[in-house]
Amino acid sequence: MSGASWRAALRLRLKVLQRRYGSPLELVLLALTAALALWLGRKLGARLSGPWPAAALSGLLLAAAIFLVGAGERALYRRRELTLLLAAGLGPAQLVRVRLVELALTLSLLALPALALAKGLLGEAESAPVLWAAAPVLGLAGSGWALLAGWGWAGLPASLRALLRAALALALLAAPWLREPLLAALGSPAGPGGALLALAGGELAPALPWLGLLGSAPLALALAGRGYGARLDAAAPRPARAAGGGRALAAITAPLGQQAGALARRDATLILRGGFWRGALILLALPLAVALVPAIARDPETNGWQLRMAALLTIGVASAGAGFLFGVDYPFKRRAQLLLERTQPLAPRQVLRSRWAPAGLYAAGLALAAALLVAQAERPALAREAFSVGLGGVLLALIVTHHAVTFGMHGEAEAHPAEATGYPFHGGTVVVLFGIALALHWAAAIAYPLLWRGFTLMALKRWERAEVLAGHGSAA
Amino acid sequence: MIEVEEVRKRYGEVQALHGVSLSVQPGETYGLLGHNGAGKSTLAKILCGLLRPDEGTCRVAGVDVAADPLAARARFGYLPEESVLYDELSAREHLHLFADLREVPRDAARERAERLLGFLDLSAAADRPVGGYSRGMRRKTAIALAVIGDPEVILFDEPTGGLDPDGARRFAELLAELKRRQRTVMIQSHILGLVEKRCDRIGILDHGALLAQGTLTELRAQAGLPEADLEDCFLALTGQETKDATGLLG
Repeated sequence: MSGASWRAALRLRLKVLQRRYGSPLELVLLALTAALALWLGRKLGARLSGPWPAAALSGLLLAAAIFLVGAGERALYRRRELTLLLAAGLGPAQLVRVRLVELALTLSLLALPALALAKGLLGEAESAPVLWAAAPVLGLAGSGWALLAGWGWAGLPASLRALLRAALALALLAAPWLREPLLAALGSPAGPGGALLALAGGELAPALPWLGLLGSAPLALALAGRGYGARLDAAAPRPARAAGGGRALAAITAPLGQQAGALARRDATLILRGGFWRGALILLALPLAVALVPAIARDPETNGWQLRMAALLTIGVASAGAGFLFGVDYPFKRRAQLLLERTQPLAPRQVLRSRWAPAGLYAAGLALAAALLVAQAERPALAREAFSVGLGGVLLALIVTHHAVTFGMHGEAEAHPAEATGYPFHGGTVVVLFGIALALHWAAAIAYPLLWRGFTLMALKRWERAEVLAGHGSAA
Repeated sequence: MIEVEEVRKRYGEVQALHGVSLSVQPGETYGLLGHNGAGKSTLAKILCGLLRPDEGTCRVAGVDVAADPLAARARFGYLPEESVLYDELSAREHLHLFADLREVPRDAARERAERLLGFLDLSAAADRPVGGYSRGMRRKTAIALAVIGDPEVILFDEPTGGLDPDGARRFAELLAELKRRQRTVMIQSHILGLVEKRCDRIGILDHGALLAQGTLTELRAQAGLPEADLEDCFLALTGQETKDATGLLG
């Protein structure tokens, strides 16, 4: 295949990636994630000392390295468009090159939140612009590592891969008991996190071994890539992961009824199997918001009413995140299957219930966690707010998630990415309004069904009557 | 049964359907043919309740689709042209999910799912995520989803796309079983052999209008080609000519 042809294949892949990930919604989420990482980094930077900042960065880099093994393996052996590219005459070497570029671009974007975290940890370091400029370098080096490690991983016997997975799971489980040695190892100035911190501080020497390792990845890739063609043939019939059972999920979702329960099980299964990894990551990160509550309670100036208000607004924001994921973002992600879903005899109320239940339960759990943290406040005057925070928080969580789900259903058929970006304004109104109202009295919750009943009914009707335009599914 | 009366649909400046009327009786298999862009998919989406007609009515098993889309969908099974499935779910999980969405009792659903998986030769792969399936296996899974609720009316859009000869034969057997159960079936396909062999009546849609419909014998009479096969009848009725490709590539 000529150079022109592999460039054509690359252009095609980049266009597909741009369509899939270049929507305003994805960019807004990336910016929000980076801002959150920066904030988290600053908070951690102010509180962490000694080996902790380097250990945090090392942990992050190790997690990224493990994630990249899977990404590389999928890119080289599993992605569906491989057949199309190879059938078009793209040889193994050109395919590796195409993957290297497209992965590097994707990873450059994903590196931004990691760099924002690092910048937050470093504080106002003069070398901050260097860190931002490092995104494409990290992207390229990460791409080289991903393909090399993915190539190596695919070549291991299945038993060895299972053993390594088990060892990793055991190591993660044992981590809390091995805290001290882990901290020493990860926080060492010679570790990857320590090296990155030193580099950001202007010291090149400690970073040289790691930079050398990263720099050698493309070279090793070029050598290893020679056997890729044969391995690709051998891996062609590789079976996909086996699906697991779902009896526990069936029991949990049974109270929702047959239709809504089935939809909720589908969503949970897809999330657990990596069908919505961005959502899974955000769901894992959202509880961090609740960690603000004890910090506010420790402030000697805080009085009971202020704590209640701050806790409720925090719960409201976290609930909006959960509601957005289940009610707006996740249905949008599944829009390719919209045609299938909409040809089933599904009453809109069943769909509402299937999305509201997981979002509401998750957010209510966060509210209860916040109430527990308030109950542990040192000052009894603040600890007494636990009941108000718990009750008001659960009500607020249910209101905010319900609103997010109805908002999503209202605009789902049109399903344009820009529509979803309107949620922060609409959702923000509900969070602020009911956060303040519930801080005054929990009975203010009654205003939600009164004020938003019309919107809910309109959303349900609109969802039921909405047209799914020709080509809607295939365009997604 | 399917009853379509004077259905019109416009997308902006484009008139997709010009007053189409047709009816398909219980136990009948009806083939709908047409070139790309003839309006077949628009008609299918109107029948499913995914689109609303600008004028006219569609009834599925006696239910007006526009007035009560939910009741109509409960009686309607649809196989879309593309096998859009959830890559992370297995074929068995798909069948259980769609049986639940159609409120099939659990035991009956499990039994029916196993029978369908066995019949379509998917049992061995039934617990693997469909993301790793071949195109034919995905098509078989989508076919099983269209019939898992045992609907009264079923529309198959390009049902045999991606199926191997054995899969196509099994699909033909499935059609025969649906006929025995007095189900109303509409098939949209460019595989004219399948339509000629399996459909009781055939309709030809062209530029949004129903040009002709009837049995193959009736279509031959309308085309003025008493000995012709369906392909020649179709081309004659739609005014298309066979083009000579000699020298096309230089």
